Amino acid sequence: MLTRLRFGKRDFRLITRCLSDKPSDNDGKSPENKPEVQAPKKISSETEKIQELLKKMLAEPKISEKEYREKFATAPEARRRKPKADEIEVKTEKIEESITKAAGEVAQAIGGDVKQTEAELLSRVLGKINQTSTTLSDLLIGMKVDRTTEKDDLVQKQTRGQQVRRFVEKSKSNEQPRYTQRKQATDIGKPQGEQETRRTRDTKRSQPQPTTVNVFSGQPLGIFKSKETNYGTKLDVWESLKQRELTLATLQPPTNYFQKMILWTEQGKVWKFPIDNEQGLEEEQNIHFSEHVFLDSHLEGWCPKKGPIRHFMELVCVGLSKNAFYTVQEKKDHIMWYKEYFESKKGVLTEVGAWDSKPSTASASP
Amino acid sequence: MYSNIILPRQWSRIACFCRLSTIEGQKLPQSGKSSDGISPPPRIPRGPTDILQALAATVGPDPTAAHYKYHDDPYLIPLSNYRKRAYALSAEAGRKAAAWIRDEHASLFNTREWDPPSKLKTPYYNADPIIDAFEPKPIYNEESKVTEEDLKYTINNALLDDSIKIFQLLGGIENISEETKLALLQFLCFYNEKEPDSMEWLEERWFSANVRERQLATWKLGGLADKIFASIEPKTPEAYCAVIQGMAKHYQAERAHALSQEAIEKGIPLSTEVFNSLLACVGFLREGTALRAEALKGLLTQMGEQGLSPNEETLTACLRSISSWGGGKMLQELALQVVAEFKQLGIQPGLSAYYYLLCLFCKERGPRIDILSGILVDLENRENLDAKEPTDTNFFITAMGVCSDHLQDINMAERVHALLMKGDNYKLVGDAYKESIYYRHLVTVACRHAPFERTTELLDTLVPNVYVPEPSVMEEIIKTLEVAGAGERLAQAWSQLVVFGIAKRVRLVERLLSAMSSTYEYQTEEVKGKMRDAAADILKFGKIAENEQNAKDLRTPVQKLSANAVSNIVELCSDVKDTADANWDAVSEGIQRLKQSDATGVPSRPQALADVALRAATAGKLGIAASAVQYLAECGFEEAVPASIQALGAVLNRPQEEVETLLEKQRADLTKAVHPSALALVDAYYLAKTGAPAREADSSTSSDSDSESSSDDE
Repeated sequence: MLTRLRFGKRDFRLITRCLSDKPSDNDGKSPENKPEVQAPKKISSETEKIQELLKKMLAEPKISEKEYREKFATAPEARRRKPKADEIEVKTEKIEESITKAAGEVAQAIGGDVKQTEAELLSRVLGKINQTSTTLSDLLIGMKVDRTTEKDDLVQKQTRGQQVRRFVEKSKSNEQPRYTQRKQATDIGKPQGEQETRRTRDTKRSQPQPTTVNVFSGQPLGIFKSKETNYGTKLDVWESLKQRELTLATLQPPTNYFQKMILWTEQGKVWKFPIDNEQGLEEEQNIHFSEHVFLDSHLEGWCPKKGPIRHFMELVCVGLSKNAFYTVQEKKDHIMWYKEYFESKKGVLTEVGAWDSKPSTASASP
Repeated sequence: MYSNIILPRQWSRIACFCRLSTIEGQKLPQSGKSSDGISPPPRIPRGPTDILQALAATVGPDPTAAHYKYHDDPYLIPLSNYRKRAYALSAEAGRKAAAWIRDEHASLFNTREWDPPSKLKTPYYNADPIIDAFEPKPIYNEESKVTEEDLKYTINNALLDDSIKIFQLLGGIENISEETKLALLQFLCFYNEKEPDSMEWLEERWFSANVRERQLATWKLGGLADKIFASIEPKTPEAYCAVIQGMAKHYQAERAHALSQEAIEKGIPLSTEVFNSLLACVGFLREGTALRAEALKGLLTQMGEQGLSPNEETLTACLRSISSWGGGKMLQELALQVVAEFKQLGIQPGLSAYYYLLCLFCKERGPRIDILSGILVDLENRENLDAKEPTDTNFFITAMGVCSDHLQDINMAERVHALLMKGDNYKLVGDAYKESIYYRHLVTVACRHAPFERTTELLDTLVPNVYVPEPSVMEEIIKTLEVAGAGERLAQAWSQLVVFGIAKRVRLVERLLSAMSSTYEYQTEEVKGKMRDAAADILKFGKIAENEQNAKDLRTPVQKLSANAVSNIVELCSDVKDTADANWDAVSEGIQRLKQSDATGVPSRPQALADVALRAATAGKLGIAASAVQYLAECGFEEAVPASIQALGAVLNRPQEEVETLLEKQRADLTKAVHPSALALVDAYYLAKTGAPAREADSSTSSDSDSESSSDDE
């Protein structure tokens, strides 16, 4: 709270605002009302107490610098260059004075119980001190106005030797357990024995034996009675999504090649067991091989009975019959493509005489 | 003779023939018995992966090898957590890049270049059979002609954004059938209109740091799901169930509750699942434990009145709610009552239920309650632990956490670990994040409470292939090694620190060094040598790191070792008899560093440095001895005086008293009497004695070189 009374300008502004806020808060009847409601004796004692405390705060701190340093962690001072000590002293005093003065003035202006208001204002500035709290002194006892910065300058000039000495002195208290700990660790020859000592140490430190609770020791609530199972409306998509989330939660990267194969099989990337080299060729499942091999029938009806075109088309059929990669439909389409092609060139072909005897059925075919 | 033998042979041949004929006649033997005593086993129908699974089961976990995914190149096998992650994710990034090319340039894969231009547009898959997994993902945009089939496809494949797009392209609610509408509603409700994780990218999921799901009402009010639900007329039970479950799943508890009451009033049959989801978020409706417990019981009663039978998930949902309401006797009792109620109905608690029980009973600052042993007994008796809910993966990590922090019981921890290692249970470990936390707990509890042999055994199996200790765990391990006085392992620990990429953690290194120096004297010569080498290496490593920092101008500066640590290094390294030993270089470097205030703080045991000075003097390393003593003197340690006397004695090979009398003389006299190199020791003596060097001109020592780092902030 007031550990370091080094208010900047901004802080000061804040305080003044705080002070000016206060009257606006209770510029109604509340300042007049308050003291009347409360027992007058109590008030006076309380205000006195606060005044006293404030004075105490301004007075010399009770604990010395050294004690304070030992008790509380303070920021290292070497880092920041601080203003001269007496400067701070003057400044803080000035601020304290001006605060009390300002508060007094404000209280005068408000009227009513002047002391009460002043105390209220000051307490507001100095922190959230509960006026009725008897632990006020307890609150303040640990705090200290840190104005003793005379050492700052010395620190800069200290030699390493002095620093070290100070450092060592301080750490001595910390050091003790470390030595003893080490002793404990190293003195005992055999590891087994050490373990035991450690164990006992651990158990000593930890709480007593845990209380055992049986999971099935509770009394049933007795809500459900019906025997037959009925899970109600079923949601297919929901179920499948739940399953998906579950698989996702327990999915792990494969840990050997077989698991990788399993994963790939499930993803449909490799052939499934049992081995079948027609897997995935469902399109041709029910087609007899003869349909693949004997394709001449598709020439009937449009192809000339003889001549170069017939010859060519027969060769095409032989080629297609040996093709293992086309489906029957594709083979048919292939032949039909030639049909359309030749028919589009019919004029030229008839002229040349390659499309001589046009069969009567050809016109009927599409 | 012959006929005697031949006859049975013929018989068997006939029998064989008979069997063959049945096979050819497509009659597979159904029963295992036949008249002639030959009984071919009946055919067992097998699924596509059954044999692979059987084979995979023969390959046990091998802790001495790196994980399968790191096997590609032995040179690149990663050993630190960071590199493991980087390796796996880079491999996956490669796969993702390939998939991106495939999707982005789909035309390369589904058109035939030789097709005439008019036919180029029609997609053609050159693969036969077509493998869906390798096909380019369909992209839906304004131009694509979509049908309801596409919508069904996206729903089945959990492509949420695409399904919404198709839904819009199809023209909204009016243009799709009731059935598809319902499927879409369920889909949207389940994921709350957020794209789910992909199944394809395993490593990404494995390494993603799963943040705990926060219990916030994330349900999109007035979103698409709400609209679809409003459009369904008349409202079917399925629609009600879907929307209530969705709301409850995403913590829109009040609306879910109101809707369920509405449905009940209308006489619409709900489902167990609906009540499960309502039970899981019942705590949002009320404030205060007692009221919440009442509400929970009320819901269960209502469920019973509806004639719905509870299942395992009902139990989990109840316990989940109860455990999220805090702790206390009353809730714990309620939880046990619920468990007993379900036990009566023949419903065993699952892993998730146990997880919530552990959460409820084993609070961090609560009284120590051992509920885990009972749970373990139950789980150990089960044939196998199947994952039933995604939260099942929380069980093992929590159980191990309870063993380590709450019960502090190594035996229990070992039981949990055995259970995890049993059968196919390892899949319940969750993801990389959970796995590492699990092992962190296991190793910690082993270090703290197990006998040393068991700890080392565990560490040898786990580290580094299964688990790489984090810095905090490493510290625990070093402590254990120190207490057990395992010097060799401590020396190894340094190389582990380097390999695991945590050697720059100054705190750890300092811990290691102090452990090494405190256990050093009890080791054999061989181990001592290893420890010395490790110590010298630490110094070297620090130097390299510093150079690196200077060269690269790194943003995070390399922390410097403390003076304590450096003096430990110096102490360890100086314990060599041989004057030509390379460790003397490390010693002199360490002392230089101390003198230049390159190390923070001051050594806590100046005596160690005094010993070093004596040893150096004995070994004839005068420079080192002198600088060590000088450092002591500069720091103002009282040890400096006896140290300089002893060192001088060792150098001059004279008893101490003689040296002391010698030092009484004036410095000028000594200059003549003593070898110039020993003069440094004399100077140090004066410095220590008077606080100022004998020769003022020589005082290039402390005050101005005092740096910030030597301040007392430790």
